[in-house]
Amino acid sequence: MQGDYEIGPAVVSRSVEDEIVIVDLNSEAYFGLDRVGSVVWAGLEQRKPVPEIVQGIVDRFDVAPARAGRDVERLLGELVRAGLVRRLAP
Amino acid sequence: MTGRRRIAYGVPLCVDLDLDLPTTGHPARVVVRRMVDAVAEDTITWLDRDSDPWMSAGVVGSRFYLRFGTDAEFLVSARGETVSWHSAGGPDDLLVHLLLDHVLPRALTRLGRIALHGSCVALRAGSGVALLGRSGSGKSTLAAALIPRGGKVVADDCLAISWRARQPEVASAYPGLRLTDGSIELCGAAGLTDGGPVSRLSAKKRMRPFETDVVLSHPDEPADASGSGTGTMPLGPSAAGIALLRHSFHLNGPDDRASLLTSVVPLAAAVPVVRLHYEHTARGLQVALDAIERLARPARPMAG
Repeated sequence: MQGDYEIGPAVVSRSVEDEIVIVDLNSEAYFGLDRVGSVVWAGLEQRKPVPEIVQGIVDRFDVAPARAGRDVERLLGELVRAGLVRRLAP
Repeated sequence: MTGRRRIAYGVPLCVDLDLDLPTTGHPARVVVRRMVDAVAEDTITWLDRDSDPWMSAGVVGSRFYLRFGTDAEFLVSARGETVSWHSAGGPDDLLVHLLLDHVLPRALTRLGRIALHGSCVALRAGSGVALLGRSGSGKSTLAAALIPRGGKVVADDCLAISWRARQPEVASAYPGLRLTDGSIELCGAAGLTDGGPVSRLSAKKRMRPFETDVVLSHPDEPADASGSGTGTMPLGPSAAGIALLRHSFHLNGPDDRASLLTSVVPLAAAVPVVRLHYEHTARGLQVALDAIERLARPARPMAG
């Protein structure tokens, strides 16, 4: 499966309960994702396209598709700015 | 193998230094011995509060290299079973302080232990609270102040944690809390005796005595938010994991950091983690102690 985004090669993560701890081994920075963000991260790990990740949020949480789409895009933007993921060329 | 058999952080040592540690008859897990010298290029240097170089780290072959200014160098083998030391001035209090408080905790991580920068106090039989935080944040002061309330100090400055029956168990570190004169005045240091200065680089004194192993618990008890007015805040799983990572001893290198993620973060799911803020005043200390006793039934680690 070809995703829209790719997790950086120096980025490692570990789930703890229903959340995720992420470490950027280059910058030695730590990040945490809540239960919704963890679903997005799992989608990135599975190289899912963004619409599929959004659908996964809609399926698991009580949220409208449009709102879920905006939240996922905003989180992806933050992850890109943090250097944890990069957008793949279409 | 010649050397004295001693025990620190629950790990039997064979050491060629005269360390004031309990003796043990168990086979040594770590051999500590002098080396002629260690030549390595530092890959990273950490600065102290005055922005002066404090500790430098690098790699020599498969071994980890640590240097403390011009005072001492150490090599830790890849699996942590050998710690070699070199000191231009020969063995002294400073070398012992660096070995016990900075090098051995890092070597323990190669033995599969989790080594957290903090103090541990048993508040009930067999279970306790961990107090994590940066140097000078008041961990040892809190630990000492818990003694008159029935607390037994298990570890100061480094918690060596291993898993036993899916419970994190903290090994007794070595005899002695490290306290400044200000902290001694603040907490009263009841039940402790002055064991002399830590080293010429530290304003702290070693204070005694010490206690036995303890289990950090209690996974089934819900986090208590009622203490929020006293400067306590329960942390969620990822925030707790990050707090534990930030207070973990480690050597250098991406592989070491990645392995920390695997070893340390599960601890956040095993014990509640609470952030604690307190003023370093007599009143602030009492408020903090009350909060710890309220939260730590029977035990919780603190990240501050």
